[in-house]
Amino acid sequence: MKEQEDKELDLFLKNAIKELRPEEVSANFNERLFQRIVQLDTKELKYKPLISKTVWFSLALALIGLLGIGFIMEPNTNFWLFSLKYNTIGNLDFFDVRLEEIKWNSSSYAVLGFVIFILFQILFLKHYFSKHRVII
Amino acid sequence: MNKPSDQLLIECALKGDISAYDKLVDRYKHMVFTLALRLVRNREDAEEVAQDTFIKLYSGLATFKGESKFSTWLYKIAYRKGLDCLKKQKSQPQTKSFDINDTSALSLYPEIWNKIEIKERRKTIKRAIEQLDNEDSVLITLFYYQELSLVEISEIMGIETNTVKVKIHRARKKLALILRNLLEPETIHSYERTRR
Repeated sequence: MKEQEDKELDLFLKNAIKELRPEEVSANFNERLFQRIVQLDTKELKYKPLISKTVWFSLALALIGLLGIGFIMEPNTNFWLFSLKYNTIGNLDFFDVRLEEIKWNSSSYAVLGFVIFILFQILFLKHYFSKHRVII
Repeated sequence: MNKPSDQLLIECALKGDISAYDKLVDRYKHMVFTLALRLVRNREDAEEVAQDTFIKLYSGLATFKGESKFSTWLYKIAYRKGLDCLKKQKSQPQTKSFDINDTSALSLYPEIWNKIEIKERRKTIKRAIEQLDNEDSVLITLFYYQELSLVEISEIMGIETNTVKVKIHRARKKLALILRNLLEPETIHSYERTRR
């Protein structure tokens, strides 16, 4: 008896609820949605440098500071940084390296390969990903 | 002309065809909104939930593998977004107690129901569903309006299939009682008098 009642109720509700219409969204629903999607895309694709301007500025200041100390201070000054022979930087002798003086062995090839690989990543991969939007 | 399938629209949308995504939104926006409204109970929040659902869908479309029906996957997102919205409102899903053992005269409904005008019937059933608690309201909508299977509903709501079955059974009885209370008492009495 109870089962029969349940079945009748089930059938009744099936028919009654089928007569309902879905609730309707506002007329500008799609327009608002696509505006938000465009905003989302712009936000996602906005160029964000790996190293911020502040960091670049701090690095430049530190480098100028170090070079300044190297040029200004006397070579014989008792200063902890000079123990690294840092004060010879003013001689610019690191530009005197000649290719024939470099000893080419497996380590130097590895370092060269590593540098090329990093340059490839920076120049080409960055360019590739900035042109291809990836949906995650 | 046949409508393009969901899968075809998804593939086009993934290739950057924005009009295909627009069609997909048009196809499901009212149902997603209805589902959200059943859960959050106000149109403004429900529309926000529907918007969030389609934004989430847009960014996650590539992850749809077709393991379940697209609609099931979409309603699952909508249901979760609705629950998130309820959490933001810091309100718990409403629960109402009913004496669901009182099922007397339920069998009278079809006859009485059919005597009422269709417009009035729609209004009454809508009001009755709105009086159910949030979860029951969603269950009834998915089961009777969307005609989803118990398995699909269990996937959307993240509950066991057997639990879905029991909950629908209870929600059905609650709805029947609300409907009886909503119908004009004179309508029922006059019907009962004519039956004697």
